[in-house]
Amino acid sequence: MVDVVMLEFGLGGSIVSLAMLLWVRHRKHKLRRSVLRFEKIKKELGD
Amino acid sequence: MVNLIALFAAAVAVLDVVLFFAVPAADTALHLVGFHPQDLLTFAFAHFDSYHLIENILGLVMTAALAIELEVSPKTFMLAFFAGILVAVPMLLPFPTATIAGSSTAIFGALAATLAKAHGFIPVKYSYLLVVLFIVGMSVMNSASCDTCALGMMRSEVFHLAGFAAGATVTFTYKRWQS
Repeated sequence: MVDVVMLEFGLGGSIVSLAMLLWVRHRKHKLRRSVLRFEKIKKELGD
Repeated sequence: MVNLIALFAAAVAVLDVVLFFAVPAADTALHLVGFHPQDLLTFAFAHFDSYHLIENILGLVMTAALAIELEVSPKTFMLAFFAGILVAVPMLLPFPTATIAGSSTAIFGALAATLAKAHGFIPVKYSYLLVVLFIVGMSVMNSASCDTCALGMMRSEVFHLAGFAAGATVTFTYKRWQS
């Protein structure tokens, strides 16, 4: 019988990567919104 | 402009699929008994069955998407990927009768490089710990669900940990060398 070691990333690994991707996208979106809000306040104070 | 990481992931996926349909995995996998030097170039792109192929391609796509989102340097991503492939070769020495195929060690290496860039969103100590816990958890789960293949499953998790460690080492060494 052949002794096989399958180097398989697995569905679990893909799910972990996808979860991290969604988390990073969510944090980036929040960060972008905060920057826009900051710019708006800065503009209002400047005016 | 085409992203280099996306291009690289697509090229690896195409190579995986072509090799899967063109050559039997037994001819391209790496084994010390009846060793062929060309297997060193092909084993990472060889897959034993369609699930093995699909899961590795899916993993590579997810990791590449995360790397693109985090703007990881393509050079670091590819270096970590190839370090993950290379580390599997000496890891085979304790198992002289074993045959290995697949690129998961390389994908774990690339994931280590990607997570190093994610420190602004997820601290490295947490993300690395999460991945290591995940690998160990998978090993325990697989061992519990499979009596006869438990040892084989645990062995593949050791390869995964080595791939992840190799990717992390190359990433941080390259970063230090650059600065």
